[in-house]
Amino acid sequence: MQAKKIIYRFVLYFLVAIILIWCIFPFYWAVVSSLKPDKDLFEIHPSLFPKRITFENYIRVFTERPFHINIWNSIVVAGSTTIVSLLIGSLAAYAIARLKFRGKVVVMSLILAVSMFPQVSILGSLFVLLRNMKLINTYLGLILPYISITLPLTTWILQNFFRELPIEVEESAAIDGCSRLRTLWSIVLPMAAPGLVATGLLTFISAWNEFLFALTFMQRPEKYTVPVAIALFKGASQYEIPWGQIMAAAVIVTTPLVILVLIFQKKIIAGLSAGSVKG
Amino acid sequence: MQKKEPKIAFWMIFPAVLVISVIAFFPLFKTFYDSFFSLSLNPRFPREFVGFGNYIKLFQDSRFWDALKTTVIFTIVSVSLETVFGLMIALVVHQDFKFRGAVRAAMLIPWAIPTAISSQMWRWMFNDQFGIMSRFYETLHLIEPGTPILGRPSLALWAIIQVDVWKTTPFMALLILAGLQLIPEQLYEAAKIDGANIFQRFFRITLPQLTPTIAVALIFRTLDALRVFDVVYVMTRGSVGTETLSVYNRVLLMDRAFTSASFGYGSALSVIIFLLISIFALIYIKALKLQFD
Amino acid sequence: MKRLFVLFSLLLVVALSFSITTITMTSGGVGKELEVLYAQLKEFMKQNPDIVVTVIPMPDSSTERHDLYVTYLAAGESDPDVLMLDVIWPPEFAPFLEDLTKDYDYFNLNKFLPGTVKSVTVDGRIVAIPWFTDAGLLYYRKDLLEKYGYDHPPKTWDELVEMAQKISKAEGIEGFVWQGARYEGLVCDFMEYVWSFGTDVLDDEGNVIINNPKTVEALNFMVDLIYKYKISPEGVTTYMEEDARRIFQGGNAVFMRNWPYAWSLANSEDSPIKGKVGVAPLPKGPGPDGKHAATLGGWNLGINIFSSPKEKEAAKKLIKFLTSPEQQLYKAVNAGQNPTIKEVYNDPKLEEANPFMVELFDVFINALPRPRTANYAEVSDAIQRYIHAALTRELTPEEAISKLEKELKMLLGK
Repeated sequence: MQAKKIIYRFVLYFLVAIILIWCIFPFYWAVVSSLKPDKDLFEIHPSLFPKRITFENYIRVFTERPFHINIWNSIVVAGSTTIVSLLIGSLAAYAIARLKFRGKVVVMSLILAVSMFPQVSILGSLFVLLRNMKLINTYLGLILPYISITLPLTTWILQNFFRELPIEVEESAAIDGCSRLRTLWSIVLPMAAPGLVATGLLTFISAWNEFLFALTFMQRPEKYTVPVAIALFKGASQYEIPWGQIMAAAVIVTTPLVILVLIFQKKIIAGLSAGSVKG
Repeated sequence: MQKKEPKIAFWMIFPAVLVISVIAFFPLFKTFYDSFFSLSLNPRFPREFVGFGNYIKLFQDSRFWDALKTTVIFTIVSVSLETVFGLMIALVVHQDFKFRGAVRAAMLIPWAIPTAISSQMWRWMFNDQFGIMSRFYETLHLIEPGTPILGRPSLALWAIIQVDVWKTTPFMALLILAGLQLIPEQLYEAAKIDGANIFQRFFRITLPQLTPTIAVALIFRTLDALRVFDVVYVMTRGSVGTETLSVYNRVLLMDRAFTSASFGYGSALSVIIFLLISIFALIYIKALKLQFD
Repeated sequence: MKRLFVLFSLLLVVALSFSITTITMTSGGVGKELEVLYAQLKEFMKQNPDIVVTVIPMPDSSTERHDLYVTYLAAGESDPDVLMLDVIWPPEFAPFLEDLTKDYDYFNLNKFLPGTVKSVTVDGRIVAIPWFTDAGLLYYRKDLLEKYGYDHPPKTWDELVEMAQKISKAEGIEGFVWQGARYEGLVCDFMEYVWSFGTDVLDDEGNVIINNPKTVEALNFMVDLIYKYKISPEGVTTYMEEDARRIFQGGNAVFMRNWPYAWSLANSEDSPIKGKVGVAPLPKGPGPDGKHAATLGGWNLGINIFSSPKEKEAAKKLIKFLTSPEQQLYKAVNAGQNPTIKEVYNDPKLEEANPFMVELFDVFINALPRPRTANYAEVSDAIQRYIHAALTRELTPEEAISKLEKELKMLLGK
């Protein structure tokens, strides 16, 4: 019996190790590659640990290209998207969760339907629309589409959170003569704060990660968001792909994400399960 | 108070509906409309009504069929691999071991890294001369030394699938794990008393109990896989037989915006992609059993 | 008094900033191209202190450049003001380019090679000014050919295969490198084989005549270079101009197909093959119809129609400067890109720096254009896809050609 248990532990830890390596290795490899000097980087048999460490790639990312501007673009766009999306989304979510009105299923279905739109289906028309509004290469031209693609998930997750809040407090507020909006602002939202944070984080991540719209609506290098900038990284000589710098840039922008995710993992999993597998 | 509710509800919902109407539904409608025209962003080619002309042309377009085939292969292979691996990983991390929370958290990393960026990381690992994955596969004798994995038809699509599986499997596992945790322990206890072995318990209890979770996750993933764009665009730009529907559609709408009447033609492809996804979306919404009040 | 001075200088700065026009231009970065351009722009801005020019470097692949231009122009952006256009693009981009017909004399277009002027004329309108012209050439290692007893470069493809096989085996280097990646360059290379084998993709009336035994034979030969004769590495299906040049210049190939720009680089101070390189017309195909053939390349400068009148004026000045005989000579000598003005070829400095430009003048004059149509991008894309599929052995040459024929017929409606 004892032997069986030891084998079980051994196999279990072995499998866990494999899962961990599988999940983390590409990120680890990006870190290692970014720290290697070019000479070590372009080696036929790369070493698993950096033999020499240099931060040159990290410096060059900011001196040779406008990467700090790209980061700023992403922060502005993803940040504004998150704030507006939470604002509009919580209004709608509250109405759906708490108010009685006709056509609720229709409204929710419409909103949810948008989350299933293949983005490419509206790419062309949206491009023409934004062009006619002179919004190509502007923050607003990217924030607006992002709000519409994040809104469904935000609304859906928030209304799930709202439903789980105790209704009694709101009822007593109503009796005290609080308007619905006031109830939402000063009672429901504070109570739902943890849910708001998790939802906001999800919204932020999906806006931060978006690629297709950013690639199409932001055409100048100084307007690129982070994913586009990294995907279109060019070497100074126009010939060699600057892998060391690409990895450094990737590490710079993914490290905060990774830390956020590690901190908020429980909330994120809860939010995602609500968003996709609430049966 | 009760009487006023529809009005306030309307104003609370209005901003959300307005945004999605202008930014999502209007362009979608416009795409449908444009798909019946011969149309270009180049004034050289005047707008002309062609009825179903674009669709007929599309069905004769071998590049469309190739893209459809690639998309379907990508979807079937990646989604099934993700489900199987996801289930296996979920079972493992459902066990009791040290640092379980940390391991589960680490599993979110692939999902959190933007696809465009992780694709670049993988592109580096697949580099034919200096890529560590290339070395790894050479050691396993899966490829000959010096094979450009991303430059070979057949191999390139597998590499892309691998990246997608890497990115999504842990996420799938966490969803399935959530389902696993809902299975009441008594069921297993009862089965043990009946003398069922571990496999019998898996097939008689775990799998049936998980079916709804897996089904929903599966459709959700299928929806995502069918519109795949980022990973293909970054890894190969759709060359060497890896072009998917979304990638082809962007080529038609943007790269070809000035040549002949590609914009209307591209709109037709957009509509086809939309319809294809809608089928799965309807199944998904059915599965979610949307109910209010 | 001091305050007055500050105020005055402030005013001056404001006034100056109003009179300065900033324009942007796109440029390739192949070889020494950018270096040379920066030097030229410095000179230009010295002569025109009221104009500031900034450069947007473009990707190497002309296909990627094309796609970028489409997004710029489709969005109605006023930047970039000056566009560097591939010789095949004017028909497609004409509606977005400033009409320069009335400026014919301003740019002295009567001095230009007639072929280059024709390439920028769309429906009787001149939409761009020829900047430099190109033709496909065969680069070879003079020293190695001599070492193995060949006293002349290959005249036919068969000769090339024989020499490449012998020398590459003995020296342990590649035999022949060219452009086989899926992009515009592949079309240029493919067309050269097709023409040299004595046939064509379209006839003079624009009918699709590609599906004939000679084209299949030509494509078959390209595939054989890689897999049968093994003189081209398999990686050639991912090579663009610079990939091929780096291998050749590193001394790792006997032959290379490339444009004129590679000459000055191969003969630069730090080049391992300095002085060991020869240039010849591309070899002839087999049979009585076989001939030497080169694809006409080259780049033109056009003006964005969405730019402001002031920017357009500055852009015209810049283009006139860059296409003037002196600057063309400077570019030809330093970047190895062929002049588009005939008299520049008579300059002894050109012959000294790039003797082949003068010796092979006929090759440049007789280079053949790719099909001219407004939907060239689609035609090119179809050719790229099927030819690349054949080179990577997804399709046999027969299949590739017949599928390509079908698609071209659909695209051109003939």
